[in-house]
Amino acid sequence: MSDVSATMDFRRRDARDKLRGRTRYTMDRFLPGMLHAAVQLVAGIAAAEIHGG
Amino acid sequence: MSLSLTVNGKRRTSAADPVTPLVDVLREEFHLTGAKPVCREGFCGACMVLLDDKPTPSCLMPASLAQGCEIRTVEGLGAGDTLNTIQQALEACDAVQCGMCFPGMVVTLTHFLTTSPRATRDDIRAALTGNICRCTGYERIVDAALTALAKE
Amino acid sequence: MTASSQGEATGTFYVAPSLAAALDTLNDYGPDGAAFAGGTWIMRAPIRHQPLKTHYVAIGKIPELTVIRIGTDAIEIGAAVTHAALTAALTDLPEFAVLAAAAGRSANPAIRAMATIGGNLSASDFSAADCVPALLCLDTQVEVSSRDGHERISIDAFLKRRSTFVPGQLLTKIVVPRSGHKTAHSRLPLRKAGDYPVAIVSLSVDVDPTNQVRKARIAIGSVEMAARRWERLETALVGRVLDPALAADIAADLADEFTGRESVEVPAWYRVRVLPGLVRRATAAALGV
Repeated sequence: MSDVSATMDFRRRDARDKLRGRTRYTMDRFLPGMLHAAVQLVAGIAAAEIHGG
Repeated sequence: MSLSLTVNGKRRTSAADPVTPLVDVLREEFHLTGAKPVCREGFCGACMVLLDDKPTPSCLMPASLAQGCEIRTVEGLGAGDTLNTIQQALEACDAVQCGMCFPGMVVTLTHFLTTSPRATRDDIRAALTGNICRCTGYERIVDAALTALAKE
Repeated sequence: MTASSQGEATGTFYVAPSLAAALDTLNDYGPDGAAFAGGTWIMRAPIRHQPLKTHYVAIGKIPELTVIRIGTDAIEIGAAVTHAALTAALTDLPEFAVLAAAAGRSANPAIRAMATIGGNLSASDFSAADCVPALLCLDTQVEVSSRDGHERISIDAFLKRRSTFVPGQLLTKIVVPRSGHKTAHSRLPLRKAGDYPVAIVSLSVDVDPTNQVRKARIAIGSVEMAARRWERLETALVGRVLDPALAADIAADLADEFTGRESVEVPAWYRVRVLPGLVRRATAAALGV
């Protein structure tokens, strides 16, 4: 049997940018005219069925 | 009445309301998006910056009160393209996962390395109580801090 | 992002260079203004869905508000002294272990470097404040200043009156008598560190060489909406030989006088349930056992 490991040691190639604060996450993008909304997701009724309207 | 802020060695001005959290001025006006507003209550540390060399949660600092101070964000910690000691150690220890907490970690640890040359694992953990990480479990971050301390 | 973008009046933020300037300005602004010390409570107003004031007067740069004076009879703490500065100043004063722990273990290092003792006492809605019960068990007096002068009142009186102060009245000094008593501060966070405590027991006892209690002061924080003294437990301990297990047993018998506050972190009953255990820990720490 060979000694080849099934895993390989790959470094994260985005680690440098993340450490320097350069990586842009979704919250870091500011586009002109961007709207912000808060969505209430909780229906307040367990196992509810949506009937429409 | 404009605000005059010194950020990463540069004089900047802002027309923001004086009580605007510094994190929002840094990100939205100066496009320094390294600091992240996550909890907005000073607990998570993702918004950490150095204010006159002191780690400060920029979500709780009104921009007006940061005038006359040296503000350093994560973007201003390395020189040009190089990483500072703790950044190098964090990279070498393969500590980064999603990366959201790391700007704050880097800021806190950059300061910590200068004040606590003989820090133990527990000292480092205590210093990081204000920097929350959901991905890594902190061990490699502590390893990196110890590595960096050994180098200095 | 800014108030002006929402069509409201732009706020102002004045960094007062002196107490007189701060008091004058606060008086002028009236109910539209407020003092700003560390700001760690005020800056969280948006996440509490509370409005900010239009005008703030920063008091953190006023020299007399940031001094700590350690005298032979008492220590005097300026209202804008940070938690970090206070802990550092109390390192060599074992009689103030309760206060050093309260200031030194709350929140996290960065917040402790910003948050002030005066702010901790003044934030009436902040139920989990650490310094409040610590100062309550130390027979603290506080100084409230205004343009017309200043008055010194007990911390109990201050806590009752703090939400009724008129604009222009400012907490300026905290005076803690030195007594040489044994003190301890026991808090229970949900995680190992860095979050709001479930309950706080602050304790100061005067015991004779056999550990018989001459005087006891015990303050409970974070359990109810405001911190207060546990007078029935204090009375029950006087004359007894102090021992952690005994103190915990008596605390368990008397704990039903507390009604825990509801909150998202823990159920109300849990805040009361942990009190005997925290009394045991505080007693053990105070006695050094």
